[in-house]
Amino acid sequence: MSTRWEWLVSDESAYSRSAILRIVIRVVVLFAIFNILYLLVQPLDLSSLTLYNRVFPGRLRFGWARDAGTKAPLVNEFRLSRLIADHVVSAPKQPNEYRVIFLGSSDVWGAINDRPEDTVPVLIDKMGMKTADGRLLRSYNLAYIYADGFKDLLVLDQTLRQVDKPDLIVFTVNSYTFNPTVITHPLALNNPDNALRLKQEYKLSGIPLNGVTESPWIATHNFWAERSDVVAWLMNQAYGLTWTESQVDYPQLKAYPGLPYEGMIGWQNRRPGVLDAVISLTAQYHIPLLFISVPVDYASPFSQWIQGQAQQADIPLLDCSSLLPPKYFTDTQLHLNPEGHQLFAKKISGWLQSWLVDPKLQGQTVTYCPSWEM
Amino acid sequence: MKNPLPKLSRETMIAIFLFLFLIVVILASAGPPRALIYQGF
Repeated sequence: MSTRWEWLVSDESAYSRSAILRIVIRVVVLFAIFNILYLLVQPLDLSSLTLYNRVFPGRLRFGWARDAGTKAPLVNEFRLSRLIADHVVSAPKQPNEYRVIFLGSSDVWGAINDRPEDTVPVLIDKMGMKTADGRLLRSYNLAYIYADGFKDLLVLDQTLRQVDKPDLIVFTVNSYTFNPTVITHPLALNNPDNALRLKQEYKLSGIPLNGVTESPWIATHNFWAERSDVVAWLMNQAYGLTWTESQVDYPQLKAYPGLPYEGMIGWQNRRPGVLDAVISLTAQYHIPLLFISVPVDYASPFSQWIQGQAQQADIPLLDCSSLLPPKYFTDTQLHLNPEGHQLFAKKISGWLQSWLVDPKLQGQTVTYCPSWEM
Repeated sequence: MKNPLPKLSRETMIAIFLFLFLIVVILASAGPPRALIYQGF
C-alpha cells in the first residue's frame, strides 16, 4: 500500500466499536443538520439558485421534455419556481424595458418547433418595437404544454410573485383553454400549494384538482420528498451547457404522435371563474391585460363566448382564429410551423402597436385578423 | 505557510464522506426523470 493512504489504516484503534459509533453519530448529526437547513432554506424556491441568466443565457420558453428527456436536451421540471428561475424572464428588468408576458398553450409555446426563437413571443421580442415614451418592448414566452386556463393562472400568479413586474399581460387562448382535455394539469398536480391557494382565493369550486391534496407542509417539503425535483434541477443546470451551445430545447420528431384536430362540435366552459380570476389578478397588480384568439381553422361556440367575455370586461381581444390556411399548421390545426408563427407575430405586433398608441383602440374591443378564406 | 482550515479528525473525515455518499444514494433513489407525454391538446 502506498504510504499516502497509510494514515487511514495505521491506527487500528480507530476502527474499534466506539470509534465506529462516534462516526455513525457524526453522520447522523450531519444528516440532521442538512435536513433542518433544507427545510429552513427551501432551496428549490430560491429563484437565485440557477446558472441561467448568469453563466448560461436564460431559456426562451419553459423546458418541456416529452418523454422523460431521453432525447431532449433537458429534463422535465414541474415546479413553477424552478421553471421561471431558468427562464429569461427572471433576468432583471432594464430601465428602458416595456415587459410583455405571453401566456398560452402548446400553440404559442411552439410545439413541433425545435427552436424557441421561431415562436410568436420571441419573434415579437426581436422586432425592436418601442412604446410612445421610448421604452423597448421585450416579449416573453410563458406558454406551457396542455391548454388549461387554470394552468395559465398558476403561471401568471407565480411569475408575478417571482420576477420584476411586467407592463402588459397577453393571454392567448384557444377553445381548449377553458375546455381542456386534461382533467388536472401536471403543473397543478406538482404545485399543490399554489393550486389550492388560488382555488380558495378566487373561489374556483368548479375546478377539478384530482390528486392535489393538502398534506402537512413538512411531509412535502423535506429533502426526501423533493429528491426527484432536486435531481431534475441539478440535471437542467448541467444542460445549460448544451442550451448555450445549440439554443435548441426540443428535438423535433418526423412523425409526431399527436391527435389530428377534426373540429370541435360542442364547447362548454369547464374552467368556470378562471378567466375572471386572471382579470382580477392582473387588476390587482395594475397591469393591463389583452386577449388573443390563436389561429386555428374551426368555428366553435368558444369564439362567441370569448368575444362576449372580452366585451363584458372591456378587455381588447384580437381574434386571429381564421388567420391562416392549413399549410401553416403541422400535426394539428393548432400547432403552427415557423412561417405560421411569423405571420401570426406580424399581425399581433401591428395590433399591439395600435394598442400602445390608443389603449381604447377607438372603442373597438374585438379586432379581427383577416380570414385566409377571403 | 500555515493551513488556515481547521484540522479535521479522521473520524470526522470518514463521517463527512459517508454523509455525502448517503446524499448521493438518496438522490439516485429518485429514479429516472419524469415524462410528460403529450397526448393531444
